[in-house]
Amino acid sequence: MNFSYTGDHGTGAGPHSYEGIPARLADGEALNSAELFRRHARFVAKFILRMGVSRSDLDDLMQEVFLIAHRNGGYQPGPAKPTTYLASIAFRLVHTERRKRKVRAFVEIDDDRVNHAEGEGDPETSASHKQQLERLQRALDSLDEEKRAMFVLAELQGETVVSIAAGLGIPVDTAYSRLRAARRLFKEAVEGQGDEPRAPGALAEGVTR
Amino acid sequence: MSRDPFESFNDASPEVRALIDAGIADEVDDYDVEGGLAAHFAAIGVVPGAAVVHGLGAAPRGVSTLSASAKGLAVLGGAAASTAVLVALWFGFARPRDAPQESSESRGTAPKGRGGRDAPQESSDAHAVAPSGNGATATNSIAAPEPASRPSEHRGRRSAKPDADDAPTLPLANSASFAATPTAATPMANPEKSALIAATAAPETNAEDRATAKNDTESATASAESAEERRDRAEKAQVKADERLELDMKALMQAKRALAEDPAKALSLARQGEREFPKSMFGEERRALLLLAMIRVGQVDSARRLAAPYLAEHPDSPFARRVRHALDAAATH
Repeated sequence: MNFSYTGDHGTGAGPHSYEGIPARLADGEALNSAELFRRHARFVAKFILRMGVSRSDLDDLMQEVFLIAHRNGGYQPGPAKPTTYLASIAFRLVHTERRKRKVRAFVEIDDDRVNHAEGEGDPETSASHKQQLERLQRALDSLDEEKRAMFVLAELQGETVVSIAAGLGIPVDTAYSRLRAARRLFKEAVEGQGDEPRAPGALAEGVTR
Repeated sequence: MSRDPFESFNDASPEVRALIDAGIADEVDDYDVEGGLAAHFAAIGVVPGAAVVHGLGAAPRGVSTLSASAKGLAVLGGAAASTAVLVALWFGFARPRDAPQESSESRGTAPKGRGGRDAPQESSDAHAVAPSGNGATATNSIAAPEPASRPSEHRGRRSAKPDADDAPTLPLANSASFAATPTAATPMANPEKSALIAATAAPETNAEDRATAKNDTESATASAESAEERRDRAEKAQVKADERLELDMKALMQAKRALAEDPAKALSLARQGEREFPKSMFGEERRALLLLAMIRVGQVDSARRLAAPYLAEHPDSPFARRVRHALDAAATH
């Protein structure tokens, strides 16, 4: 069955290109799902974790992302890069999974989205790094899904706004305004964290499967 | 890491910058890529054994590249298949009448009376159908060497058989690294293969050892039968679910593509999708699409009525937001 995810990652340059995605961003090579996994698994894992998914759910979501990529026939060169193409699938899945499981955007402060940073390198540095990641996650939790995805991809994962727009299937202008809003809210959240320290687990919401 | 030169976070305070830098530095190095990749192979049917052909048969585009993976695995599978060849040869020549009996017991369909002459021929088939070096596949070839016992399946596998000679020419799949994936090989480390290995050593020992080895192989074969049946059932169920998910997504994407050019068609497709996939994981998105299509074809009032419960149920959904904006825009015109 010949099936592509044209509508979302925008390989369908032409009369049916989706919602103002530029016709072509860059040439690239087609990649099957296994090659996508090999090259971009960590990128996707990071994105999923920064979107607020628990570490214990990461493996399952990773498999779902790449299974869908496989079913879509892998990545075909187009406006979206392989990374933003995968991120668009992950974004959709995270949204769906969160809703299905009624998981709120934030989980326990001492959550397993950041615990993996423990025990690596100098203990003092690791503790500091972990603390920073916890604060980062809390600030990200204050953003809605769309802004969060935009912020994570642009600020933490180095994707260009144009590529993110292509991946998420939104106009570039919308992507820019979303990023600006995300930055503002993120900044406010970081500054607000100092004013209202939360007790660990204060906002905990069960992340169960 | 490339950054958008026109969009830097200029007003980020040192505190904000520190958090962003911490996020950038966190490369999730402890994520087990190899383990995840092996699980992905299993999910798409590249490992083990029979699942290769079945899974790939169900795959859409990219089949050729993924069959490439299977072919790559066939290279690694050569060792296990060779083991199968040796065992099949030995049983074929030493106990020519045993094989059909085993076949009959295990499958219940294999005609008897097949001589050892055919065993070597079948063992070459074992070579062909052991793309991942799966011991279970090889074991079946030994226990039921009569091709007529499962003719269509055998032919099917042969027609799609991975040809190890082709492996290096595969375009996208790095067959060598596919084959070298440690976890991809892990499923081979099963009891069937252990029995095979034991049986392979048997010809070099005495008759008692041979008998013991054969019994081990029979026992392993019997357990392999049930294990294989269970695996087959699970695979079929998974393939069915995957195919349905694929159809669901395809229908959704068709509707999305139609929205800009032909909203009436999009509306029709979205409605059809809701009927065909009532429990779709994309139901929320499909409903949004349906509402947007209704607005575009001018059924604004109906859309507004239908949207009320949807927007109440998904107040923060990005899809709901688009519906809300579209309704607002329609109200101002």
